[in-house]
Amino acid sequence: MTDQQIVSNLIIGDHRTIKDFFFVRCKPMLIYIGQYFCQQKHTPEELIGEFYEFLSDDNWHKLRIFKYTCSLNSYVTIIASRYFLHKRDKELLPLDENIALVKNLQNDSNGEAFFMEDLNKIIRRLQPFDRFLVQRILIDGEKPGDILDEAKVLMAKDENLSTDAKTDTQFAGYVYTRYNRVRKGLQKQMVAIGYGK
Amino acid sequence: MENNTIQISNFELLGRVLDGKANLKERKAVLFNMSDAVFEECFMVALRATTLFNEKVEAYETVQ
Repeated sequence: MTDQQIVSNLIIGDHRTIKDFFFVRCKPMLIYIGQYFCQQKHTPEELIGEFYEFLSDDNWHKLRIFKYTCSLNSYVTIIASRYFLHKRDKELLPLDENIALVKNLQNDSNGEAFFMEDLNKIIRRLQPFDRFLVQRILIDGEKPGDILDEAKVLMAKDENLSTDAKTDTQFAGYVYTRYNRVRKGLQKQMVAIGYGK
Repeated sequence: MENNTIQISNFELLGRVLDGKANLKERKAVLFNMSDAVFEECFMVALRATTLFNEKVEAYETVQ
């Protein structure tokens, strides 16, 4: 069966094709990606079922826009990787709750003292400007907009840093984007050493 | 593509790279984007997973 035939059958809701495609052909791929990003939180059947729901959403829109410039296998693999990565980040990183990251990780850890020690070790390895962002926004709970003046002073002192931001709004955007990226990196490193699972 | 930026949501382009059918410009753009940790993780996990398809689906041959 060609990729076009499989897609056509999926779109018309052919049960046999749906079962074979998701629970035979794609099963090892979906389990690998699903369990890589969402470790031990779901059974293989749940992961596959969830991805089926996602892909079939909006009347199989993602398959309907497929132009067959790559194989169906690769197309679905990229979609699955992005989907489960997004799902993990959404579960681990509640945006707009700056302090929540620390609290979530802390609740899951075995001891607060060890947690703070490990967190500080990672923070110490950050660039000075990134360390400042983490300390003030994540740890102290300040809003990005309230630390802009300090951030500007720090940036002016650091020859390695530069930004095209000309207005305060643009600079605030730069700070917030940079902070979010640092926070995600910090989160990944903490998870890698055993916190937050 | 002019600035070598590829979104993770550019599924078909990334799919062509996984298939080994992307052109030089597309492959370079993907390499350029590997400096982004999120992009790298997403793409590398997909790359490893492409070897895991169960192509021996006999049902495809018999059903009709």
